[in-house]
Order: sequence, then C-alpha cells, then structure tokens
Amino acid sequence: MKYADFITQDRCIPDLESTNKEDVIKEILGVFSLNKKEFSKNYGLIIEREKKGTTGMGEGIAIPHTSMSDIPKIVGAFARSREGVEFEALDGKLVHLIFMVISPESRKEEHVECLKYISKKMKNELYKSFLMDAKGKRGIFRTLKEMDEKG
Amino acid sequence: MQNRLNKIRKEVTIRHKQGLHLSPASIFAEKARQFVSDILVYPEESADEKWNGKRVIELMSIGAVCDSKLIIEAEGNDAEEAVSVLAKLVEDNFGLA
Repeated sequence: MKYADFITQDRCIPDLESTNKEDVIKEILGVFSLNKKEFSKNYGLIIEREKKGTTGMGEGIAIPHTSMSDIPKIVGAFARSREGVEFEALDGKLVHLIFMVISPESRKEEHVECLKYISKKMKNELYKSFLMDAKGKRGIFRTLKEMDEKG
Repeated sequence: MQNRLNKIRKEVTIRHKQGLHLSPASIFAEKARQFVSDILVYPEESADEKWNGKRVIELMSIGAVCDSKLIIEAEGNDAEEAVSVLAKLVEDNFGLA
C-alpha cells in the first residue's frame, strides 16, 4: 500500500477554501467522481462516523473515512489547510493535513493497511513539513510519491 | 524507594473486530497519557521497533488487526499500575462494543 495506490494528483487540494468541518468534508468529497446520490450517501456516512468519534487523530492530522459496497478499490484524497480546520481533534488542535479514504466494504484489511500507511508516514514531522511546504497539486502529489519511494 | 527505571511488560491480544483502529487507539493513548511512565507498544516479533503508546498516530501505524498479540511496556515510577490498567483496557475491548 502506497499513497500513489489510492491518491491521484487530481484528488489533491493544496488550499482548502472551507474552514469548518462539514464544509471541508464536502469540499474534499467534491474531488471524487461521485454522482449526486453517491456524494450524498458518502457525506452522510462520513459525518455519521465523525459523530461516533472524531478522525482528527491529533498532531494536525485527520483521516475522515467510510466504506462503499460498490467500488472496486480504495480511493483517497489529500487536502491541506494552512490556516487549519477545527476538526474536534483529539488533542484539541487545528487540523492542517487531511486524508479522506473511501474503501470497498469487502476489503477491511486493505482499509486497515491504508490507515496504517498514512499514520506511519505522518508520524514523521519532516514529512509533514514537506507536505505543508509543497507547491500546488503537482508539488503535493510529487511529495506523496517521494514518501512512497522512501519506503 | 521505588526504582525509577522500573520496566514492566505484558502481552495482550487485540479483540476489537477492526483491530487497533482509530477509536481503540485514541482510547488507549488517552489512558496512557494519564501515567508518567514511558509507554511503548509493539508486536513481539518487532521488538527492535517500538511505538509510543501515548500517540494515536503511532498506535495506528502498528496496523494491529483483530487477534494480534501486542506487548505493552512501561518504564517509570508508575509502570506497574500503567501496564495493569492498560492491559485491562485492552482485555475489556477498550470499553467498546
């Protein structure tokens, strides 16, 4: 599992326009090719998940996620907010780097692998600073791929 | 006088169906932060790499699935109590359904 397996350059948002949690989730969901019904369903599921417990795991990172029965593989998006988003994070701090993950319901193990991979990379402060400094979609995606190559 | 370098370990089995996922990891880390001892968590086979039990992001990066065995290791003044409380938390499935 690598970033490039589930995130594409088109699904990288260098500067979120939204500032509150619900609007941020909508803005990120907007980069997936979802029809109106899928968008609404996924938005509802992600919000429901957030109500059970925030995915703002602290240290500026959040991983809102959900699963769908009718997708063939894990898909993800990355979004950055330089100002920070109030995501009700566990440490009470603003969130700057957000990974959204939508997994097939039948592949729970891949889902766990995906969250493991994101966490493993993001516990590294240097990698987080690279993502904060990367320029535009292209720069962000190149940074994610460089992290992939570092193993 | 208690030994400051008191190091205690205990093996636990993750029973949560989603493994050491975000919810159990956050409950564990929150409890671990209540102790002054350093808390490390690791699978027995990875004893050369240990994860900080007080950081959710580190616990998530272990990627422990259901039925995984993990070692909880604490070092410090309240190490014994920390391991006992944290092991009980895992045995009680983190208080989750």
